[in-house]
Amino acid sequence: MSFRVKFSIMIIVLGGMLVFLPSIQNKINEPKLSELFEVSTISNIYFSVDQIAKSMVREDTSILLIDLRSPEEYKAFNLPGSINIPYNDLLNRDWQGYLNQKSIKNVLYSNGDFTSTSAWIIVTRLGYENNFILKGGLNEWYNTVMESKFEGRKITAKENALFETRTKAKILFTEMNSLPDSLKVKFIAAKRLKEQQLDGGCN
Amino acid sequence: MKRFKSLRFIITFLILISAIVLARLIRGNYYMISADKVYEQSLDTDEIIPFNQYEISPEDFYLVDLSNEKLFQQWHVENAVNIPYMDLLNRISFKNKYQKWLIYSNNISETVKAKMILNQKGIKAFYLDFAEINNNVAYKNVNSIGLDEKFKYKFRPDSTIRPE
Repeated sequence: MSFRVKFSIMIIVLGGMLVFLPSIQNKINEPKLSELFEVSTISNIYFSVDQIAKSMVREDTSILLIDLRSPEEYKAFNLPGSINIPYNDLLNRDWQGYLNQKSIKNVLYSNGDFTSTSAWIIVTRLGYENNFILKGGLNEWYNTVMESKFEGRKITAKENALFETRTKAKILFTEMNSLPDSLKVKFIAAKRLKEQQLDGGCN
Repeated sequence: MKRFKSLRFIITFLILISAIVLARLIRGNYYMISADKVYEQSLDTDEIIPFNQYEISPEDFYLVDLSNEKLFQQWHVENAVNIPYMDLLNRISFKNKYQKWLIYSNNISETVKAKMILNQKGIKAFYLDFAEINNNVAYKNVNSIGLDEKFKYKFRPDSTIRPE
């Protein structure tokens, strides 16, 4: 058999083998499967409700809360300062600007962990950075912040600070969500302005 | 004789290529499905198998408890294999890769991550749900994946609040 025939057979066989190779290769920004898994095992991907309460009270603009529930659920109540990206619409290109950026931390939340974790896996697989999960979601928010009660006899300075932050976050949540829809955005903006004035800052 | 030599060359070449492909499929670091497909699968509620349904034909599944060893020893579903989440990728073998995985753990977030990682590895995986039998004391450590997104509280607006 001549070299030409051998070479042709080799090329045909190689082509045939390619059919059996995994069809989905990593795209440019996508992490490898093992990298995605590795990132998913570290606890840094989670934010606790207390961390969120603290950032809410401090008006921390380096964190953006993303509510993954339906627009109806979002409208009924949501975490102050959050935006609504329904999970059913997650891959809509309109949201890419929020989900795929490097300047602020996105904290994904829903009622529990199921939807936020699913969304985290999808966006991380797509190579989007700076996305995190609110551990326990709104159920944990209610359990820890909204129903926060001090039941001990003595309170330490640390406990007192934590309790105070939870109470402030609870008031903010209730105030904001008790307002008519048209005033909710204005409420957040007005509050930020007021805080800036009290801090002596300028805008 | 010359013809036999050529044939031997081709067969050796074929075996070599097959070995490379098999090695890559088993230990490969590739996604077997696209991100869009993973997303679509995550919206599918048929991926949740109630415990009662599992009991009808347990032999259909490769039952995996993703909790850590300590929790697994405290309690687990009969016949479940313990694969702690941290060890998941290392424990995928040629044998279990082609089985239908049925997974559960005490940590909903880890269960979701495990299922989606397995799906992307080309493995069929389902959630085992304990919603129907959650009152049973034995299942107290395992949260119901089907009920996880149910809001357990009620928001009560404060009608006394007036915009400033």
